Amino acid sequence: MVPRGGRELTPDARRWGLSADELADAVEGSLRHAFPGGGPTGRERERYLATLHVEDLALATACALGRDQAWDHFVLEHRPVLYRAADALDPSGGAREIADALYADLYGMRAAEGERRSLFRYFHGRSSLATWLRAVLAQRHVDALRAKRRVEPLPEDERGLPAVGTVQQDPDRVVLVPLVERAITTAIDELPPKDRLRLRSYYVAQLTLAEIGRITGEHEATVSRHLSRTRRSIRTTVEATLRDQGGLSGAQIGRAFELAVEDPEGFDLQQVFDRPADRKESSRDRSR
Amino acid sequence: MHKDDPFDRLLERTSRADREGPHESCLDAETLAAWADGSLTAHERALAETHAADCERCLTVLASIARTSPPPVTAQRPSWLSVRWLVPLTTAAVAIAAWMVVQGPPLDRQVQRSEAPAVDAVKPSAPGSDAERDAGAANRVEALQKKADAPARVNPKEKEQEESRRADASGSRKQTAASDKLAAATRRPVETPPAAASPSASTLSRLELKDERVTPQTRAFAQAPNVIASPDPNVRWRVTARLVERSTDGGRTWQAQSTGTDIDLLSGASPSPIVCWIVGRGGLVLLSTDGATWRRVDFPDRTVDLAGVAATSALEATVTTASGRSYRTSDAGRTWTLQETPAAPF
Repeated sequence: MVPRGGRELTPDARRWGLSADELADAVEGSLRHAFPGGGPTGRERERYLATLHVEDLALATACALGRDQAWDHFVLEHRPVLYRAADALDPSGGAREIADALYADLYGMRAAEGERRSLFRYFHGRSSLATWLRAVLAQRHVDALRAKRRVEPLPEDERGLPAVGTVQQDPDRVVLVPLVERAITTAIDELPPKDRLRLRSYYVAQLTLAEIGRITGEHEATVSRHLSRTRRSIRTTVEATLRDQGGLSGAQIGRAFELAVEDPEGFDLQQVFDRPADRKESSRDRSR
Repeated sequence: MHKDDPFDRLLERTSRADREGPHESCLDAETLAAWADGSLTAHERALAETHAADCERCLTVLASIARTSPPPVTAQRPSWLSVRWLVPLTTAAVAIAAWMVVQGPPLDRQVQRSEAPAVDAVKPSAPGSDAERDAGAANRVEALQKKADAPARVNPKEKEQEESRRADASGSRKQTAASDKLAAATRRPVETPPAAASPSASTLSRLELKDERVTPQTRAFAQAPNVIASPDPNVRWRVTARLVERSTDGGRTWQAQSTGTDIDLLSGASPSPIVCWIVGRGGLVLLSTDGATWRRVDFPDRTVDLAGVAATSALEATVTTASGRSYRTSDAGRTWTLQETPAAPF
């Protein structure tokens, strides 16, 4: 699949003391990982190899094999990247611990059955090494936060007992708020995935328009236009649902929206229906 | 019962959290990183978007990657070298050089500055030298990768679509693709400002002199040779107009090199001591993989001036046109892909 015999070698692979066969093994491993169901077609292989980050794969392979020169280079070039990303994730320094743990895993501190297993084995060159490091770090950071959130005790008013029987049972609220919530949820579920991705990136992940653009590959003005269109579409769908299925009049629909917005436990309608580019209530200006 | 009973609310929240936990269908770090670098196929990307749209964990990870992305390459340059200044600066520099040529000594004065004779400089490396072996290795990697010409080559229709997509980006499309490779490239002093050109009569006819931009700083910049540093402090290239010179002793002596072109050279990048990319007017891209000889790399548009280049290897480079558009190659220039510049991927 990949020519061998010490003929193919990138300049950096030579620099890391990597033999052509070792590099060929890494490339073959990457191909096997990308096409687990069997060998790729010639076209697929060409396309895949064309986007492969061979130099980074060579560096990662050499590091996994414990080549000192490669490690020296990695420490010099990539460890600062890792720390910068950690500081960006948590300016208080909390993510640095994760970065250090990640660094230890990259080195292969955790031995499995006496053999050093480096995290570099999971890098297959599909992205740059720096981006992969940021992705692994971000994933671990998010998982740590989510794990912490799960074990934290709930606030007193969410434990259930004191709240029972104390809620004002407004008859309209009991009927209308669930209707609105259900209609909105359905409308969002029916959106194309990319629209949902933009919507949730903005309202749930609280990303700026520019950051969403980086994810979707669009300019922030385009993201803003799509968000506005999606919001209008949701509103139209929800109003139609409330009118046609809920039998509500225009005035009742307006009242239902008001109640849903006021409902402290309910869906944050204000966020869904506000104009994205005009919203300034968050701590940072997300139009940039 | 639903939403009114605190216990049910608690159950609902707990169930939701469990549903959102890491599971097999969650995107792995490799996919997320490839997404960020724009390496996923259209199909893979669509699948990833579909998953992330409904997975809080993956969405949060994506958000974290987006937030930790390094600033665009252009933002890392000194302000006076930002892309928006490249066009007027280059124009002014060329104009000043033209004026100096008309008023001053003959063009070959630049050649006379070289301490070593050109005939020695173009002599290829000795057979079996490291340089030759490395050059061969770079070429063999091209063979290893066996890239097809067709898929990534920019055709006129794609260009047209790109243009229309860029229309809504209007004035803010100065960001170049801020991939980590480019960020890595900018950590090295490989991207250098456009050099003063010594224009021919045909070049002069294309000049648009904007006197208001010709400051003393610009004059000094125009007269300075364009030095391209390599990772090895002893090895560097120097580009002056159409002349390329290389130094292997930290700039004490320079050897002229033959490029086989008479087109003005504007910028260069050297990711290794034997690899250098140089770009110039008329879509000119030159590549040396042995530090001694040059070959012209095919570029899809020969009507544009290339003002900048960032390179990470003999295979991978991103060139920037004078109008700020970026093209990337990962196969030593056999194919080029117009970059999605409106929003740099992460």
